[in-house]
Amino acid sequence: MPHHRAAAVLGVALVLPGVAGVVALASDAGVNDRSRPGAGSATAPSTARPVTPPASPRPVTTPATIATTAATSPTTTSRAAAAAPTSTMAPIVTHDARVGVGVLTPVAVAAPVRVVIPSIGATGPVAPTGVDAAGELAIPGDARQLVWWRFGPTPGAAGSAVIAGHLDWKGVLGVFDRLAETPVGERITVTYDDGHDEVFVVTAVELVDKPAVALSGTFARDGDPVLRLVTCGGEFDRATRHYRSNVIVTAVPA
Amino acid sequence: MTTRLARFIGVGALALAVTATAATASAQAPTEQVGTVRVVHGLRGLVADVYLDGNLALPTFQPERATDPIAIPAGDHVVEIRAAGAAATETPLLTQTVTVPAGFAGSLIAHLGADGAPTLTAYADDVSAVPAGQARVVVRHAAAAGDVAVQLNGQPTVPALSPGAESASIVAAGPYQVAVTPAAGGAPLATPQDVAFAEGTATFMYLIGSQADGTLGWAAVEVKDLQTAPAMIQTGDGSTLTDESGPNPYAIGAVIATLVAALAATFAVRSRRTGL
Repeated sequence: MPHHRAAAVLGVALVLPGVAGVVALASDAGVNDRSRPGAGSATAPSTARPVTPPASPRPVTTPATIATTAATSPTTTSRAAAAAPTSTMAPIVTHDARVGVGVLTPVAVAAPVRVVIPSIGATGPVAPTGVDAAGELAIPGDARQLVWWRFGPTPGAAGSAVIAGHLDWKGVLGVFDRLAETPVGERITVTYDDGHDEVFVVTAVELVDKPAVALSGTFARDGDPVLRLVTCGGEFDRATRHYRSNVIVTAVPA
Repeated sequence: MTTRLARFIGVGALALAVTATAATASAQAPTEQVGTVRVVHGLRGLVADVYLDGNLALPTFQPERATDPIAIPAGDHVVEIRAAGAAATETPLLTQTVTVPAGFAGSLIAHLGADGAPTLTAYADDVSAVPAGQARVVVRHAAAAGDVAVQLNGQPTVPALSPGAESASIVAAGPYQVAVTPAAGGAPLATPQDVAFAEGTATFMYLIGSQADGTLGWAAVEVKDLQTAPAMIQTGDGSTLTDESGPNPYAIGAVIATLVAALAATFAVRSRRTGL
């Protein structure tokens, strides 16, 4: 739901050539509070004050205009220390901010459409998915359908690609009903919507308590490419009608 | 030029390092003495040299570009903007004093104010986590224009935004068409723009340019890696379990079906007997 917030500007004066203005980077209180452990005198610099109007066409010559006494001491220290030469400083990086050219352009990726795990006889179609109303991975009520977390990487791209499927649903065994039996070293084939295949080799098979699967690196967006196949496992909780654990098979590009 | 830039960055980096050390060393350590600022160039057509406290900090800054967050010592700083290559002694196109509070995290945009003159405006950036499957969109009015309304896919997402104001929304991640009209209604002020708001990102959309000149448009900064993982993966209902204690729901279903059939049969028999 949209909400409105006035621009965080305490004071803005003029901008015409040779005339100095003042703008304060006074910020949303919530943002600031999160980022500092104790408030104290840190709010002092937010008081905007005008700069003495210039007397010459070269209005500003003093390099340092740190205002408050609170800020002066440590800054002065670091400024003196910074005079010592160092070779590890990064340049200021800039990015294209042109909408539709440099930013906010959709990136097309080849989506997985089929997974085959030969030794456990698991073969199933894959559809992209998001979250349901509860913020959980949305999985259709079809034991034979697999889903791919479409906001994460596609299998083989950097990060952790997640494909999940039912263990069982409405009396039907799921594609992944024997996922826990997948042997390490198994070669899994993923077919993509552009028709090509990729092979992944299983490196680990784990059983983890829920909801650890969501909190661990299962949904990582970066790092080496891994494929994670997920289903349910462990004890079935008859009170919640859910299994207590997730089976996670981790595989890497062959 | 390089030396000045290096010194400028060095100050920020060192101040950060000092703060981090102090924070770990003592619980009563002073709050951070730096703020971080993304500088956004929203003055179309102007290749600029940006000076901070008299030092050339951002040489040849191309319009419609933005920097990564830059650490700046807390306090007042004088920002000057000149056309790229102009002598440091030349009268700036814009001079403004910027006060950076300790711990500030936000953006500073150079843009045309409502009166058409270049100015600087600062905003705090909300880069907190975004719920799974969604994206944060923050619209900021940084243009020489009156109050505007912003529509996403034809829906009135921001009904009225005055110059300098901002409005934040959480939307389902995906493709959108962004349109901007006068707040009072009327034809679009700029060509509707197709965008993609990626999941787990915050996008800061700046309306820049001039309504009078017909140059209104969007610049944007996207901040990534704010995603939240799905809360759970539920992939089974136990319906194929046979060796567990407790009733199987499908067995119960069968029993209920049988009972219903039996009751129905009984009712039918009674109905005939009573003539109902």
